[in-house]
Amino acid sequence: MPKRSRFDTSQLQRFLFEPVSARSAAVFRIALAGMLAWAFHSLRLQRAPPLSAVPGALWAYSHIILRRPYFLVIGVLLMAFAAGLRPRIVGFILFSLLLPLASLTAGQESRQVLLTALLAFSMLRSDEQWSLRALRQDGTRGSAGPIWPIRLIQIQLTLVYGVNTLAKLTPAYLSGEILVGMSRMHPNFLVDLSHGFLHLASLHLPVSTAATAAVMIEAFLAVGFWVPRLVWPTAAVGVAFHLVLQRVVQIYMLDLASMFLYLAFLLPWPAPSQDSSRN
Amino acid sequence: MNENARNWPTVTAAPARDLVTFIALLVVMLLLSERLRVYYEVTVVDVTVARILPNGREETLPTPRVFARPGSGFWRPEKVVDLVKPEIENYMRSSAWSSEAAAGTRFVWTIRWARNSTRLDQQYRYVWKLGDAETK
Repeated sequence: MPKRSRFDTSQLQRFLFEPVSARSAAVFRIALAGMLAWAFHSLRLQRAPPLSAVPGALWAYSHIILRRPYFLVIGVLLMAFAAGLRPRIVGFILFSLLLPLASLTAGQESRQVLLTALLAFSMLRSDEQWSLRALRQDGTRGSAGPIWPIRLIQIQLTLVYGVNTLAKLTPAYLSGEILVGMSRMHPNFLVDLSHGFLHLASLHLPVSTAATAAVMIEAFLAVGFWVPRLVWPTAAVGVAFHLVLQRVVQIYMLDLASMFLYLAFLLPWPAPSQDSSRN
Repeated sequence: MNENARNWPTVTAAPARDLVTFIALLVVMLLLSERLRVYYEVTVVDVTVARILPNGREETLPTPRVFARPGSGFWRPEKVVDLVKPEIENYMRSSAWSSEAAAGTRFVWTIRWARNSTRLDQQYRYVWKLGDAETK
């Protein structure tokens, strides 16, 4: 039993504290800066109604947050983040500036996902490579820190698919009733499922089959990334799933944000072993 | 802990603090995960309207476009009537239907709805009469 517990502890330590590759961290940092710039453009969005209940919120949104200078500051900080200029500090400042933009009339889910990723990633020293500091050659390292911030991002992706799978595991959804109802009610649905079939190219699927397949795929995406041999096939299934989905419903950004998080599984995160002892 | 593990990097310089931070963020993520559910429920609402002339003749009118997708499927079922009724009143006040209607004409609005189903088993009828309004 003590042997077993020692094994478990060591596995857990590896799971959380294995050194992260500085190069992968740099790639993710640059990609995250680009994704945030794209996902948080908000000039045409309005504040969501619940914010009206917060004293002073309306004034702050009208006079500060939804103004061009605010976005200009965010843009400059995103460029600094991408360039690896003190990415931890800049990351946390960006998080606090982007947080109010997560409560607008669109993109609330995708922004929550990306803000979580930013907060977690800002824990890493992602400026060890491909950054202004690395260019100045003042001591680059092979590791950007422990892997647990990346684990949080991975878990976030699992939660996106996991909670949606659980929410859709209802007789009403699996029978296709909800999909039919949504195709009637949601203006962003691109297909009419009233007749009980989903027509995709030459494929004519009963809507119950399409609903069940969607739930099964989301369940697979929640689990598949954690099986090392299935990471790339899972990513391929995920991309195909979201591409098909785009022909059924126009989603604001959550599909792109989810696919972006695939990087948390696809990049080679473990640092080269010779560097792993450097802290 | 083996020799290699002792040298593994940390964020806060103390593995225990790292672990606490990891768990705290994980708990927040789990608590907020419910907000990530999308396209898993819908409230289907259907609005129809009929005009009853003073002589008792009833004619079905085309549903105005503004009532084509009430709430876009997001309204809670128990709020449907409360939210649709003021829209009907607004519409009737400004539409030509009421201004051109002969005295005694009634407009019967039928709101049917259901949560997560296309069998609209809930129903509310709202009768608009020139000058006053009554409900059934």
